[in-house]
Amino acid sequence: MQSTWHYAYGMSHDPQMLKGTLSLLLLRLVGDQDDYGYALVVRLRDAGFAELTEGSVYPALTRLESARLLDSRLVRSNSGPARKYYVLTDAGRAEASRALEAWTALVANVDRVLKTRKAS
Amino acid sequence: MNIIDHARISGATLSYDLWLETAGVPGKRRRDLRRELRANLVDATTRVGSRAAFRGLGSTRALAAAANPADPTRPLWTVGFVVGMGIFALAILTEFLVVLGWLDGATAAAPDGRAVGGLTFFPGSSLIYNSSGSGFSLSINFGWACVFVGLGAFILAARPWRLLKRHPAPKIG
Repeated sequence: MQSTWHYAYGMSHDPQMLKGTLSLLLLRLVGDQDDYGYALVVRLRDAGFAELTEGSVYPALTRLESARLLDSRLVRSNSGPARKYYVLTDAGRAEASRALEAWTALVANVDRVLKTRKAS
Repeated sequence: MNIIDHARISGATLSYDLWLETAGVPGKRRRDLRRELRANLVDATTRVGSRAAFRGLGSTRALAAAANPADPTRPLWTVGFVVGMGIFALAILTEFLVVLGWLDGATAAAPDGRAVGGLTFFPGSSLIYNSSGSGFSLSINFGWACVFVGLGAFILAARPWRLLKRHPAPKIG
């Protein structure tokens, strides 16, 4: 996963493609470490998704929480209001695995088609 | 953060709350989402400044719409209250302006006496003018029309008949 992100670093991403994978990315990041909205935006940007905005990440987090794939807890902050940290649920873990498998299969299929075109 | 940053954050969270209310999000959930947005904006403003923090956020209307699919079965009580109170206040103001006109007429018609009347387009209203040596007194009853108009606006804006609609099937994914 890390190497893929370094490969993509600095490239602009197709917004539609990014939209389709945002849930997977968020589930994966929260699975690695519980975090709050803006910190997740920063982590995604640091990973190479520089064009990702808060306006797309925050609603995605809300939808994942509504679908019970993420849970949340409030943590006091010294620099402002209490932050809402997201936690991956069991359902979220299962969905992350399923989405990762789907993504891997998609990439493999796309790659196969592209290689076939290059060869012909 | 300076006072302008605080004002911008408060404005954004209030606007977000209004759009969530319009989308039919219940009060407890709205409060939760509002607090979360506020905490994120405070953090972003502290790190990158308010200009960059708000640039990334975009429109609070789009944010509310993207986060919560609208619930067509929930009445818009807050929107109804704001619209109803606004129309009620407007009706009172209009009546008051009409009363000023009536008062001019009453002082001209009965400079040393008593005048009783009502406002033409405001049924239920009544006005009593009394002149005395040191000045005059005016008794105003605004009537039921302004309350009726305000209540009507509240009902039209709140759309309580949405309660009769069936809940939509939940979307998966």
